[in-house]
Amino acid sequence: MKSKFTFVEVLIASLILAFGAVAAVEMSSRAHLQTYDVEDQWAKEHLVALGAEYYLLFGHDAEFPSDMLPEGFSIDCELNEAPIGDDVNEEKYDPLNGWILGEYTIRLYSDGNEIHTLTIEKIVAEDDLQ
Amino acid sequence: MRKPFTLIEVIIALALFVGLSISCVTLVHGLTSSMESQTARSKHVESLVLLDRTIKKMFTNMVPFKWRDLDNQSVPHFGGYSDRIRFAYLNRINNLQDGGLRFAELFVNDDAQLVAVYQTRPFVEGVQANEDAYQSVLSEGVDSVEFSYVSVAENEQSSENLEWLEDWDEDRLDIPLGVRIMIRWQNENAESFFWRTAGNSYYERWGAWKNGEEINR
Repeated sequence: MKSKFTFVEVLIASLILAFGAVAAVEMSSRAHLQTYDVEDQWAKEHLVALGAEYYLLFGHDAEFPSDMLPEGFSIDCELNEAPIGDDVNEEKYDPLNGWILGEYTIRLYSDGNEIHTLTIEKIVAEDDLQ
Repeated sequence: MRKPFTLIEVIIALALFVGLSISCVTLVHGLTSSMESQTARSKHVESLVLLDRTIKKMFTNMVPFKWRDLDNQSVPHFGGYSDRIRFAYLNRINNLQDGGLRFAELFVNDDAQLVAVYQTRPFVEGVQANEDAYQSVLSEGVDSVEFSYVSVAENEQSSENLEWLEDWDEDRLDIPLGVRIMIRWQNENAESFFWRTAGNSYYERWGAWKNGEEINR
């Protein structure tokens, strides 16, 4: 005659099933979170790239059109002299005929909080530096 | 002989079975719908990345180009309208026959797809050469696209006074300094893309700084 399952066997089987279910739910929610993270990261990169393209064309002190950004987001730009590294010849960074290596810093804000920054080095007119 | 189950035992067993079944169905349903929404979301992100890359590659390599029309007159190839754009751009040389220039047109077709038509020969008077053109779908479920173009203000040369235009004068020999495309999808999502053309910037221009110069007809 076939022997019956003991209480302990049933308990272990139930536990294994429960762990399986929990693992499946966790995997699913982790995948979900990762997708959100990727989307969020892409959105930040995309918006800051919009800002970079805009300021590189319209100038660092131009006003960014608000209709290019989702609600609650804003962007600004600063243009400063590019920082000089420790082990480089500083003379190479001297202005030449009114041109100098500048650094654009583009900052993206969500509800007033800075969430992403991009810096771009570019030769600019010395007079335009802040 | 085995003692039969009592009514209470059967009811309890049935209740447990129903409870377990409901839990299992809820779990599977939750997992399935979560998986579906996650797949849809990742597809959406993937399509945005692909769209962004494709537009960036084409717009940033856009260059001015002139070609002869049916009257054998040399005319600008660029066509900038609010709902479509036609342009030439530099492309990697894959073989000598195709060369390093591509001619493309972007618009929304009747199937709500944002498509790009590419060809290795220029469009003649805005008409594609069918035997040469191929088409790729950049995005599906598109409700509308809106292009706008950056130009230096009339009678000026410097970058200090730039303006947005909804259409580009067909006779202009220059191309826009930047092109913005606003895509609205049928699911009410919208996204803006903006790229400078031909390496133009506040300090640099492709070719001479000749704003708005037109052909002599």
